[in-house]
Amino acid sequence: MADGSKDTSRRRNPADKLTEDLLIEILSRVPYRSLCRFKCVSKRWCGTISHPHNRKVLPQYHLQHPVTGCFLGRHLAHVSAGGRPRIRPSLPFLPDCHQFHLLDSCNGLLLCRRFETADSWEFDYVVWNPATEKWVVLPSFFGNWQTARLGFDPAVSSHFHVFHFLEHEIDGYPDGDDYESD
Amino acid sequence: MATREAGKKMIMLKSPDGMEFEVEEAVAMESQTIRKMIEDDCADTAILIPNINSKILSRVIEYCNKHVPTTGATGAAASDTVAPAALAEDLKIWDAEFIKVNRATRFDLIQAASYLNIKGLLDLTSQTTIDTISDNSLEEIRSFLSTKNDYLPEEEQTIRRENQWAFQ
Repeated sequence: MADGSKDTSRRRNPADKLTEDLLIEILSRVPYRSLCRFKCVSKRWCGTISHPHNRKVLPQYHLQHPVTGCFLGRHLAHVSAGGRPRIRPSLPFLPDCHQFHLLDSCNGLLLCRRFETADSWEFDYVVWNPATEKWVVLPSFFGNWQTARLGFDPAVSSHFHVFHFLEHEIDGYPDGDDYESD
Repeated sequence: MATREAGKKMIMLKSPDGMEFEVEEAVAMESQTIRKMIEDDCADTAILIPNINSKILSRVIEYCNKHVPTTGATGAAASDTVAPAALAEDLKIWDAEFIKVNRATRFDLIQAASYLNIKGLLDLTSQTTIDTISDNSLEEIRSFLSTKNDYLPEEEQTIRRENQWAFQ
């Protein structure tokens, strides 16, 4: 080896060797939580982690964890055996209300109708994350009895979308609104 | 040049800096890339391994030598006489020593393992890198990987807020 080339390689940044493919190879071994933290390292890392093309090889929250439980009324019945439950079954973090109607779930988030009192049919739409125990009430224009569905892919964005379908009485074709979370 | 020595088929591997390494074919075939060349009859003469210098190539060969399934003089697999669990434990200890290298060498080994398609070595080098940075702060990760923080302050604030749960 020529001495000159040795010196050049010594001066180069060793991390330059980590091409996009190798970065993905390394990142494919981290838990999903670390992957989300690593998005904050740099724009390049965030772009690599979020790129739809890389989603098949990088960890996904919903693929990494088996089904946690199923809902029985307002309580969560755990179905996964062994270990400490990841979600508190009584869901004590949820806001006080008379009743929840579970409408939809998508990659770890849940969409519900929340009825505050027993003597009223008024409700809010609430989206909540049982893993982080956070919830958000949707703006009031979502407060009617039409079909609402949830869209969320944490590998692409931390924002969720709620699709609100309105059925026209005359032609029966659905129309819709879309709410994007902050 | 492919030769025969003590009944074992040998393969010559050449690094771009002109060094030659004669290795058993079985050892070289730990690399799926080389295995494919041999199976496709592209390995009659010495195989040039581009982009991997002699220092790294010798470490890779050292790894493959250790990990190739060994056979004794009678032809019986070594695992017939030594408990598989003990062999696995021995390899684990050996791997842990093998990977005690500086950052630049580790990145070179990741690159070599990827090009030569040696799954065990790629697993070892990648996992060790992840273990090194997993519990580090963002600043330490950037420093270890010489990655610049190219976020504007407000962009970093937003991305941190969106992924706050992962820091808790």
